[in-house]
Amino acid sequence: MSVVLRQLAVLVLALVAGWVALAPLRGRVWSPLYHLAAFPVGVLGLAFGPLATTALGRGHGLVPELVGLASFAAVTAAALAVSLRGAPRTAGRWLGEYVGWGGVFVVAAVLVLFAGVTGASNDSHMWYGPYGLLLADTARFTAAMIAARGHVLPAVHAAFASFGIEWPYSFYPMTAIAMLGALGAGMWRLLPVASARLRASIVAGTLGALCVSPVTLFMSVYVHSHIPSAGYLVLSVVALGIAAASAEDADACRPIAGLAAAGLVLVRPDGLAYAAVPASLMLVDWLRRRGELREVLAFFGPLLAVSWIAFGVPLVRFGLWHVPGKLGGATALAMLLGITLAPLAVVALSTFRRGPLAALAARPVAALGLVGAVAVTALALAKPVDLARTVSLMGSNLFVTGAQGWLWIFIAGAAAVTLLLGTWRDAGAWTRDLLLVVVEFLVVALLVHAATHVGRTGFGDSFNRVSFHVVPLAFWYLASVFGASASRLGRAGERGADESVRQAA
Amino acid sequence: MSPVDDSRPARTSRLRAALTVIGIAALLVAYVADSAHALQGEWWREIYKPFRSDGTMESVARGIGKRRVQSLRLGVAIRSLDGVREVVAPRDLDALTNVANELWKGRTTLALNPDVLESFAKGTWRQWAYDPHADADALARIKQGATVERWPGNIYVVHSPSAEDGRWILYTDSINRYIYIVPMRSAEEAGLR
Repeated sequence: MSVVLRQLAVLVLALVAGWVALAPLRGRVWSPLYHLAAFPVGVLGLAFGPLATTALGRGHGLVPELVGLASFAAVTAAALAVSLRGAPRTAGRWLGEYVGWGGVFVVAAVLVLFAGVTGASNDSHMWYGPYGLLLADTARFTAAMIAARGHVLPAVHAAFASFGIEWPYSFYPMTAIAMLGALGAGMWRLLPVASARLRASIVAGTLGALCVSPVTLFMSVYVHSHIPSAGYLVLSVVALGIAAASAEDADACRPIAGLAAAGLVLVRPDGLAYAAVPASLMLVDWLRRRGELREVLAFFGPLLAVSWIAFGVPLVRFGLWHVPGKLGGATALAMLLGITLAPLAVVALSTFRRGPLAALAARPVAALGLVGAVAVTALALAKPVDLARTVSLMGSNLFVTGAQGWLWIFIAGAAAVTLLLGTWRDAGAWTRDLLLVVVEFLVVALLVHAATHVGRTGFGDSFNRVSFHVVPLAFWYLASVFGASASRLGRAGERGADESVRQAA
Repeated sequence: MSPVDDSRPARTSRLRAALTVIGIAALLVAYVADSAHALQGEWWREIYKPFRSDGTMESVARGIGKRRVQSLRLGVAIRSLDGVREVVAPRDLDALTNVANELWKGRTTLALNPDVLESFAKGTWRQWAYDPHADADALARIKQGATVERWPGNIYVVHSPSAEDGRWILYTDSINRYIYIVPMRSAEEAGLR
């Protein structure tokens, strides 16, 4: 089998696994979201073969990998089927949809495979490449591997290696395409613009503007965790946005958001921290609406189940591991407990009817801001020099030394325009939530880097690269305010904007 | 979720909307122009140059340049060591210990390329360092008056007066071109001596 066909086989395998895992959502969620979520969710499943062989201490080769992937898909599908039992399901031409979406996927994959473009740094060929080969060879995760590079990417590289591919260059552009698809779908569904023509123009323009950046283009082929991280973050936020806007899609959207957040956890060691971004978005929305408990379970169930299994196996196998300069077992356990306790704390907070805690529960964004302020203050007291240095490096890299061109100058400048003119308030609740997501992401990144590694100037700096994860969502926020403002300029558009904003609200 | 604030005068609202559209559009044009200009030039000079791969490590080696070939081969080389089934990667001290033990027990024959040591002594170590940023501190300390002692198994111990305990351990992989450096204390804790 040729190199192209072998890579295509792995990509399609992940897509099919995702389709199967999410099958109970079919007909219960907006169809494009189901299909666009399938590939990233299937990719998540690739980690479960090595996890199983690591847990059992036996098994090796392609068969356990496929069994692990199939088990992930089957168990996820069964859990979703049980949780959505009795939920109404619309009829549809499923076969045609599968053929259509699958056909687009295969065509895109073939183009990517024949283009053969890839990008690499030391991390790529010193860590991800060898780790993938070795995981395929040994079928065992090690503490050092998880501590340094997480679960998903070594497993992805191992899956390709099992098919004889040492360097799975096609995986990264396909992840980028899936991310752009999810972003475009989310924008199409949630932009506060009534005119379909204007909305289509803004979606196309935003995706085009995003893709024209050399940073985006490089990240799309770069063998590293960045495009998968951005993809999972976008997917989780898109699913939560649709859940907030559409009651009929909501029950099926939240598990997708939870699984995508789990992908965020497993794709980088610091993903445990960044999962706080979609998790807090979910909790803020829930608290604001005083939603039902099952909604919290629908999101946190998949997130916690996947995360606990993924970290539980190495914790049981290796104990509280210690790898110098990397994610330790104790830290991973503490963060897992934090993600587990956070929803319980918020649910408990929602029960207060008077007093300061009730006031916090009534203002969830302010409560989140308070948590962030406390964290930053604590870090400022504990590591004032590191915090100041991190802030300085973040600013320097984003705007001058990080080889990002005008990317962040545009984002920061345009965001400043929306804030100074106050138009961010007029574009609907979801637009404000997007702003919240971007700000929270940057605060989490500040905390992670100031607490662990301050960084350096230049493109290769960790934060400088990680900042890309939130760029698509920042573009979405700007497009949203732009769209609402453009709609407001015309009388017909104004009515449409207001109507659309109200729909979003 | 709050609805649109209709209490603001419509004219002010439109003016703010117009300024927002103009402001974002102007910045967008500047950003797109800058990106287009960068794409026409050698923008990767500041990032990493993309290259074409056929899915093999060799194509990656070609893509990233000859100098890094040896580091790229590391993973494969370690995999071929009989009996070592542990994941090995640079900076993975536990795994490196296993490899070092294999060397120590004489299960594989290694030789330190004199050229490597020479370049190291001359201070041109950066070309051999797998991550100049991460190890700059250690390497800088080694450069200060280091002396080298050879142990069995072709493991070289670098005595550096400025290192924490005065010594660092240095050894190479079977390609004979790659250098690992770990603090002596870690090496001793790992039972290398």
